[in-house]
Amino acid sequence: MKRLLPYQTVVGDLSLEVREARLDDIALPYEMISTAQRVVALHRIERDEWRSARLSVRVRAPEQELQQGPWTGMECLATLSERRTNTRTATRLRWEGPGEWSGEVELQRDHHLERAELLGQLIATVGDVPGRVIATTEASWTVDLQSRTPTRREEIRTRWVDFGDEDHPQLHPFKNDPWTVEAVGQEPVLYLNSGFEGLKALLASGRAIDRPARDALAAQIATDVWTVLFNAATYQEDGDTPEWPGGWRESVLRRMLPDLFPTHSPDDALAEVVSRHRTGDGADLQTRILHAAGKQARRPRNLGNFMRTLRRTGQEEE
Amino acid sequence: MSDILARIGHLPDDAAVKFLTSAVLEQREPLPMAAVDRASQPGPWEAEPVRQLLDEAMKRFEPESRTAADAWLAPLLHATLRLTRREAADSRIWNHLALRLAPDYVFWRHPGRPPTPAVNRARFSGPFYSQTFSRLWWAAELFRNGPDYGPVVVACGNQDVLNTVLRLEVILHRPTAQAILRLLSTGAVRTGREVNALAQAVNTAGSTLAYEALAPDAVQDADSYRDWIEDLGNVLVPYDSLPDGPTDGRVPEHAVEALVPLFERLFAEAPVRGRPEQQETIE
Repeated sequence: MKRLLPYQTVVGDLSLEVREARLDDIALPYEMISTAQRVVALHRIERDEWRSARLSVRVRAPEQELQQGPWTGMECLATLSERRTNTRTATRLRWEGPGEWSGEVELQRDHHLERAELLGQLIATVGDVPGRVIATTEASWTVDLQSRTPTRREEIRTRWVDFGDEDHPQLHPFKNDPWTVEAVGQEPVLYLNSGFEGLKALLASGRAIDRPARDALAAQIATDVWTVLFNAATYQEDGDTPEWPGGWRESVLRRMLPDLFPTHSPDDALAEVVSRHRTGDGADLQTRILHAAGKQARRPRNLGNFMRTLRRTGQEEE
Repeated sequence: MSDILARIGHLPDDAAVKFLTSAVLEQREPLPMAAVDRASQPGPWEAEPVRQLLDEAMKRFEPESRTAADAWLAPLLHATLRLTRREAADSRIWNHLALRLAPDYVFWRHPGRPPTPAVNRARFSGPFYSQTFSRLWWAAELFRNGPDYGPVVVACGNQDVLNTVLRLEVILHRPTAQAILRLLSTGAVRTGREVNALAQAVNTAGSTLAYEALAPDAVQDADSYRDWIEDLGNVLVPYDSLPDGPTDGRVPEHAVEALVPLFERLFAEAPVRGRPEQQETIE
């Protein structure tokens, strides 16, 4: 997300890469690091007693833009954080050359429980103000201490089911719909109706000629999914201060709120949504949700992952 | 089932919620201890020292001044129940403490306010900043300066620090937390409203200013922390003076000093409820 700030920030992308991970100083097998999914899977390790992990990271920024911009005293930080353990550490990286920094980030196992998030940040003096954040990596890495394969957990579970089938009475009311979303409990599920003519053939099609139609359809499904998930995630019990709900609900909110209220901090945006729900002032809110859901659904990376999920699911259950 | 609990263990969230009925929260019915025991898993932490500590707290403080117990109890709880952050992030241990070891303390410290006689469910089982024991433990962990619990006493002596500042992500940077408390202990910031205004100003400015770059922290030494945990068997935690915290490294003083003037300025420019509006805030 690029926010509007009262000083000049970097327009180009800042990217971070984990190049190696060492556990108590033993190098991890390469498959524990997934560059495509930006995940380091520490739990896959067969050793129970490890104490610390050391990640070699490299951050890259658009070199030309940095040279031409008004920034001085630039430095690059890698931050590792996990909200559940109230831990956040920042490591200063070495300058390697124009637009490139690298260094070692240390993760203490005693300080983490499930997943730590790894981000890169560029800091500089802008005008007379030192310490300005002028760029943050668009996509963060996840250091996973609990899952066994390096996958991000934000993927939605998808199932092909004939909505008219006797085994699924809860789907009967929707038997003429191509898809529906169940957003309760620990994990939301997207149901695709295999009884809906042509849907499966199109979504599972690998033919280039079907691609535009397939992508458009996937984007539409994804928009519906994000909309439902968002609305489900914002139901809250009454309380003085809105609370982050944790789990998938929180990750949905954190991803979409910046698109709903670009000028608000995440906390303020959450408070705004909850208060609009409560006061019944929801019309404009729905417009914003539609916009944010559409944006999520159309982001090339998200859509690509989503398509992959749909196709993989299709194959598994055939 | 015996009513004397040897070890503090784990009670899952979903089980805890089931036991916390309205009747229990309003103290019309007792907690079903046998069922709580069946739903719990044993843990390694000795229960007796924690139980004694809570009894002592209820003896030292009159019910009218129960909020004052927080500043006394927080460092002692942290020094008596020695956990890693990894362990303390698991809500099941706090559920077990509240529902099994010391529900009486929860009722004593957080009685419902008329007209609702019920204790807020989150005081038994809830987010780390609401639950009776985890809020104190985490306040001690996040506000201590290495082995020095002095700043924790300052922090927990102000309910607005516990209710507001504790949940802000910016305070996970130790120099930021220490600088906020510095303003509190020098008297630059006094009332609850002022604390809240300062916290909001620091938090908002923190979205564009990297305090971590302006005031780099030192790495906390996880091995020394481990040693401190293992040392528990050899020490008697004193009740009348501050215990020694883990020697995992103090916050660099120059880092705190780098932030104090900045925070003073942010506070001077922040809107405080009840204080006349000043000039516009810098972004």
